[in-house]
Order: sequence, then C-alpha cells, then structure tokens
Amino acid sequence: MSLTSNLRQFQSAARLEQILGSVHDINNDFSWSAAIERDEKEQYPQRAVDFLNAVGMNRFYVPSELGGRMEIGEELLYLHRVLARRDLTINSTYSTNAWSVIVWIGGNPNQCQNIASRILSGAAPALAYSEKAHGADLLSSEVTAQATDSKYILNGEKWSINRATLGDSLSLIAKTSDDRGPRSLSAFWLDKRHMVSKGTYSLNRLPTVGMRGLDISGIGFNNAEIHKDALIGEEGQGLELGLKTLQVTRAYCSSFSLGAGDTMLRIATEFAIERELYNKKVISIPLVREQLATAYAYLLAAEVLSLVGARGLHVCINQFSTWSPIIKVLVPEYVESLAKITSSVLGARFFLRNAYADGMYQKAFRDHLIVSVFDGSSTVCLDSLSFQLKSANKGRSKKVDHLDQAEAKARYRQLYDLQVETDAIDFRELEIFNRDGDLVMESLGTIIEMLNDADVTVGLAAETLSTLRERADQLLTEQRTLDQKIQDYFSSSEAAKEFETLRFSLARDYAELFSRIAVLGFWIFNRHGLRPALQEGAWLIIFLNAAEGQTSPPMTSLRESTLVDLLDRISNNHMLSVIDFALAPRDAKPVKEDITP
Amino acid sequence: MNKDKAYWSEIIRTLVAKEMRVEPTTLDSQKKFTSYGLDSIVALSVSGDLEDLTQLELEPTLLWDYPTINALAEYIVSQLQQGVAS
Repeated sequence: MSLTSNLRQFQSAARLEQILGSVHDINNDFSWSAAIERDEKEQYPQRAVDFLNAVGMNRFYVPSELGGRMEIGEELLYLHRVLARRDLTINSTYSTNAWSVIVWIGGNPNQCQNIASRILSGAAPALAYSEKAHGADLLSSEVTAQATDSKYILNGEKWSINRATLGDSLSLIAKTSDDRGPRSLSAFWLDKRHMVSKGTYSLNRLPTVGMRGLDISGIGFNNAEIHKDALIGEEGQGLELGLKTLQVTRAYCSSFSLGAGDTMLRIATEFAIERELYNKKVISIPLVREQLATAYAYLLAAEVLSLVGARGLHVCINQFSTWSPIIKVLVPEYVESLAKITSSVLGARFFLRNAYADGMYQKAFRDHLIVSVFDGSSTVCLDSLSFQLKSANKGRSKKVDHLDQAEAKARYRQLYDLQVETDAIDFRELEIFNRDGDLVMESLGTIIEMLNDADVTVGLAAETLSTLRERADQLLTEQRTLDQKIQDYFSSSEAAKEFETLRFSLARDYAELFSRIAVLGFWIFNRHGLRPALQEGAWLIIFLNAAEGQTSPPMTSLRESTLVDLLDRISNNHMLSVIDFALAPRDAKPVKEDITP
Repeated sequence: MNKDKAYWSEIIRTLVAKEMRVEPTTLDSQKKFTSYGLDSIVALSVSGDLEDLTQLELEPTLLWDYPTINALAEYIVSQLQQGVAS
C-alpha cells in the first residue's frame, strides 16, 4: 500500500485541509490574504479559533479515555501542519491547547476530567512559565504561590506569554518554597473564571517581528487567590512536570516548520516557473533547479524526522527527554536552510511585503524566525541533551549485549514504518532523564543489514544503492567515534576551560547523527510505499550531502528526479510531503463540518 | 570494607565533584548541591551512576529529594539495609 493521506493517522488532517478551503480565497479566514491582513492590523485570529472549535479540532488534545480524540502522535502533528501552511499565527494561538498535557501527565482523575471538559468546550489556555527577568531559568522564578488551609495566594508577574490576556486559563509554574532548589516549584492549572478572588491584571501586549496578531502579553498576580485543587501533582513537582510537558510540546513545534517550509518552497517554486529572465524561465536555470531540489530535500528530511519523533511518542516515550530536543533543534534548522535558499530564488520579492503571492512569503519567513526559540531555545535544548549523552549511551550499550534481533527489528519497524499501527501513547511513562538508550541510534545495524539485503530493482539504481550503503557504513564509523568521544568526555574530570563548548559540540554531533540515521531508517522501512520518485532515494542523498556540508553540487540525475517530484506536487496541488496528500482546490470554500463526522 | 555512610559519602562526593569538574574536597557534606551551582539536570545524571554502584533502583530525581551529601548517603545506607533485611 502506498503512503497517502488515506492512512489512518493522516485522515483527520486531510479532512481539515478540505474543510478550511482554499488559501487563495480572499473571503476565507484561512487564506493567505486574510493572514496577511490580520498581520498588518496585528489582529488576533479569534474567528479562526472559533471555527476550529466548531469543527472539533479541540478534541485532538484530549485523550480518548477522557472523551477526546488524542490517539495518534502523527495525527495532531499533521492537523497543525495544515494550519501552519496557512498562517503560523493561527497555529501558534491554537496550539496552546497542547499545554493541557501537563494535566494528563500529573493530574488526578478529577482534574483530568474537569480540564478535559474545559478543553472540549473550547478553552483558551496559556503557558505561564517565563518571567521578564529570568527567561528560561525557571529555578529563578519569582512568582510565588503561598499555601493557606484552603487556597494558594499568588503574587508576581509572568511575562511574554502567548494568550496571557485573551486566554481563559493558565498552566502556571510558581514557587511554593523559599529554597532555590528543583523542589521549590509547583505546577498549577488556573481557570481565570473560577478564582477565589480576582487579583490578576494584564501586562501590555508586546509587538513582535512575526506573527503580529498573537496575544503575546503577560499576567500579574496581586494576592490573587486560587483553589487548592488547582495544584497539579504534589507541591515541589513543578519542574519535573514542566520539563516532561515540554518534551511533548517541543516535538509538536515541528508543525510550524513543516507548514512554513511548505509555503515558502511552494511560493518560490511557482515564482521560478512563472518568472522569465534572460529570455528563459527561471526554473530552467540549472543553479535554481539545484537550489530548489536541495530545499525540497531539506523539507522532506524535516518531515521524516518529525514523523519518527511523533511515532517515538508511542514506541519509546521513556527516551523522549533526548529525542525531543534533537527534533526541536534540527527541524527548524532544516527549514531555516530552506528559507535561505528560497529567499535567494525570489530575489528582492522575498523582502517586499505585498509584491508577490499576497505577501505570504515574507510573512512565513518572518513568522518562522522565532520557532527555534519556542518551548526552549536551541541552546537550552542542546544543553539538556548534552547532560544525558552518557546515560543514554550507557542504556544503549547495556541492551546491545542481549538484544533479540527479530524482536528488535519488529520494534524498529514499529518506529519507522508508517503502515504499522502503534500502541496508545502513555504520557505517564515520560521520564525526566533518559537512561533507557536510543532506539534510532540502536537501529543503525539493522538499517545497514537491510541496505545490504536490498536488491537493485526498478526504481532503485545500483549507483544509488551503493552510495547509500557507503553512507550507512560511514554513519556507523561516526557513531563509534562519537560514542568514544562521549565516554572520554564524561570520564575526564578535568576542569578544562573549553569543556562547556565541547559538551555542546558533542550534543550537536549526536543530534545530527540521530537525524541522518532516522531519515535513512524511515526510507528503508517505507521504501516500497513511497511514490517512485522518492523510492529511488535521490532526495535522501541530496539531504545527506547537504547535512554533511558537502558543497559540490548533486549529480544532475539526483537533482532532476527530486525536482520533478517537487514540480509534480505543485502542479497537482499536493502537500510537499513524503505522503500523497491533496490540498484544498483553488476554488474550495471553507465548510463548517466536523473533522470526524 | 564496611560500606557505611562515610563510604557512600565519599562516593557521592567524588561523583558530584566529577560532574561539576571541581576538587572533591571543596564540597561540604552539609551544604546543598544547589548552593555550589549544581545544575538540576546534571544532578539527574548522578543518580544513574549511583544506581550502577549500589544495584538499587533509584529515581532520577534522587538528588532533588536528598540535596546534600549527608542526606543522600543516609538514604543510600537505609535502602541498602532494607535490601539486606528483606
């Protein structure tokens, strides 16, 4: 069976795409021109939010045992991707529903039921972690929650918060002890409409470079009283629950990059097809063809890494403390590479606010700039990953000795193969620190075996197969070298001046190796379901070359087959995806129908 | 060697000092790890090392809950004694 949006995990997103209508319909709230108009007016997308609640998108944040439809990791990723290709402002505003994960992780049955009901009836939550003076340094938080017999009294200010003013509830981290230790913070779910006493005030809305319609503001507490049952988990569990929640939301940040990447590449390619320079179409210039093929390979790799991550939530959620920072760092970076390439194809038009395609390119470009900072910047993510390298590697090497090859391969298949159904996600299995190992890193040996067993067939040239075998062997050499470097680094207790820089560089090397293995693993396990142009693996070689910083241009044959697939996606109005996924026709009107009839 | 509190205190001191890349002698048994600037995530890795050495199942957040060398050594000894008793 081929990989299409008919697969169970993509059906809802495919339906949402059709429900939302054409991006070219100027009367549609989900069109590009409407997104630009709201952005210029710095207008909050309230009508779009109401529409999404009306068609039932909110159900996809609530686990099925609580009455929702949150079942498959890939499903929510693609629902958001559909929004993001239209407007990152809508995507960012609506995605705050995902902060409810903290309740599914740490809430008691009553809280789960109550907050599920609130999300299902259209809540507008915000995440109130950061403070003006402390940014990502949560342990320095100054907002306090002082316990009395029956309530907590809040004081202080949370700043730079999405939906702080227009939202109706908050996932809040506050200090419940004077100590500065990791047990000084507690987590609360605060419903602004059901507080014991008001005592809250709004901070000014903050103008932003991109996504100008967002309600980025803040909230202050002045002896604000909340019910005791607003506490999630126990006192002192705030940091732990907060970090676990971020593991999930970081993985879903990929939707922003995939949506913005699709829009930027689509617009730049359409421009190259239409534009004539020096008596020929821009698309016929070999350099432009190479650039667009490379940008497309980056987008496909970003998608594959996101997909493997979303499946990892089902298959190995206890390893997610190292997986989610990797995905959160690299997916936006791949799309930043795409943005750099496509902006050069567009020339001056990338910088003009309304000269081409309703001005949508410059909006997607601006909007995407902040994605690498969302939910913990790349530096924060690499820092967190670096401290876990020794432990994750130890977990992996402990397993290697008694690995049942058949069982292991079945597990890799579950991770990579989109046609294999996965077990339900259990958020309570999230671990704050990865001691278990790394299923992607572990799978490399099997990937190499599968490549060696693969036959040259129609759609897989001998030359490509031989290149991929070589690359996989190189990855194994790199993995062994990196494992040794990590061991050496953590065995040494020398207070070398450069040790911190080295720690970050080990984390980056690990992340990049993980990503290249994941993309290769996805390809080998899904090869037969991919459409012929992707089956032949040219895009994969282009990505591996680009990711490894090889500056020599791809061979003409690799470039051409990848580019032909991109042009085919665009002329057939399909998502720029490894999945065959039809977009809403150019003349389609939005229809307010349930996503899951 | 009798693996008592003093023994485990030295083990913990060495592990924490190594993570922080400081001399073990600079760490006071009574002072909280956080007062030396031990990062909360780094603290999580020490628990795994202790798990290997003690053969006990230990929560990653062990150093968050037993935030000094003394408190942690006492906990380890009590857990090991429980293991022997059972």
